Amino acid sequence: MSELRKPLRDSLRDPATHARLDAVWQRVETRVTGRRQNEIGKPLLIAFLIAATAALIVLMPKRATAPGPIASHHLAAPAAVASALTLSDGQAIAELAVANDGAERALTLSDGSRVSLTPGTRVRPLSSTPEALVLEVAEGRARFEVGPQGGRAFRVRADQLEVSVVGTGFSVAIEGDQVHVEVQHGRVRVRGPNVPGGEVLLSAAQTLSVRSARPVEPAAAPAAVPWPKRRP
Amino acid sequence: MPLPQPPVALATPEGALLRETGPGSTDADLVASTRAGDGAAQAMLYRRHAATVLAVATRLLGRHADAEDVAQDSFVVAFTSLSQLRDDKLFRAWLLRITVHNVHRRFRKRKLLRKLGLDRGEDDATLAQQALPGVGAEDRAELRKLDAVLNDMPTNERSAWVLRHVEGFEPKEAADALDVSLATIKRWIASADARVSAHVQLGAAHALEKPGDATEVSDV
Repeated sequence: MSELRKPLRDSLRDPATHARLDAVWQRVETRVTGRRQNEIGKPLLIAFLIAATAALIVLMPKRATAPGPIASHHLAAPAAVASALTLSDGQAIAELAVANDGAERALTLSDGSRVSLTPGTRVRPLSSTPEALVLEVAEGRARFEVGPQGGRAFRVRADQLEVSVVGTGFSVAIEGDQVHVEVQHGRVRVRGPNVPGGEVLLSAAQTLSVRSARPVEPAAAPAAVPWPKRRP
Repeated sequence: MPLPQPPVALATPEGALLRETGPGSTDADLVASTRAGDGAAQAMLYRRHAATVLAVATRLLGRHADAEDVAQDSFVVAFTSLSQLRDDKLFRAWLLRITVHNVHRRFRKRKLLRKLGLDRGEDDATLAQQALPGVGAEDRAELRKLDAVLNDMPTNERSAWVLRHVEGFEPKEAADALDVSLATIKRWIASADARVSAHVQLGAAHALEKPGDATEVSDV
């Protein structure tokens, strides 16, 4: 009679080594992310094709029956475009800063959104167009209360993180070698190289803390963390 | 991107910490968070079940490369089809069912390639090849015989036997993975046991399955 006992896996090497599990994870993540991007892209492509077809239907008969310059009323009216955000007093958004010994400062933007800066905070605009407002928290902690933006994107960057906003209240802080994003209400999408999975959706009462990319240190080796024991 | 570490390890300056998605989260919590776009929850689901999926695929296929492909395909299908999972608590069972289904597809492909003389794969993870260093020569010989018996077995019986007696699944979990009733899985295991015991002498920690044992019959 053999010494082997069931289950036989007790006498066999575990094929699920850390290296193999990590290698499979890399491929899974790449494929899942790729599929999601395709899923996002398909509706956009379909919408574009529908819009292009509609434009052809509107314009083609007129060209056939009335050659020459197309009268302005034959053209679709340009879509309403939101104007670029300014401060509530109409001034352009410039660098916002509060000295270390200063008092907390709150600013209201032209759409009613509010930005609060604690002492020692510096926020600067990277881009302010009708399509998008991109702010950067260069240092300190800033809190944002953002209303619905229509078609305009409202993004906040801190270190290598980017927070995309859709009607929400949240704060972004740089503390030492950590960047924190805390959501008070609503939801935000956070992207960055140190974000688990590359991107997370944060809801109210959730906080994401990631290591800043500024001090260059090697990431902890995956093998240092034990994999959970297999069942059964 | 490397696999994110679990929050316990991430609570260090080197990593990231997403609260509310910890090791204590249930599969149902993690599935719901993954559906909402939480990459950390998805990584946690992978971390929790990947070892079992890879082990099952390797034991059944006997080839590391094929097993890695099947594990990869199974997780991709699971993560991109979560809307089809009716009960989030059953993620593990559903994932293993996808895995076994993919393994069986791989068997069919391999069979076809063999018939055409195009199967270039190498069996590098058979039971005999995977024996621990402490396993004696006599037992290794038994494992080689067992590999041969399993190779000649119908796919369903082979899978049932491997899940039960190599990986140690309970009959109910093996039945779920193969998407059959408990009575059917017991019948397959008993039939496979008979084939194995005709050629190989193994000690039995598990009682042999008998078809008549099935007092509970349910379609999974």
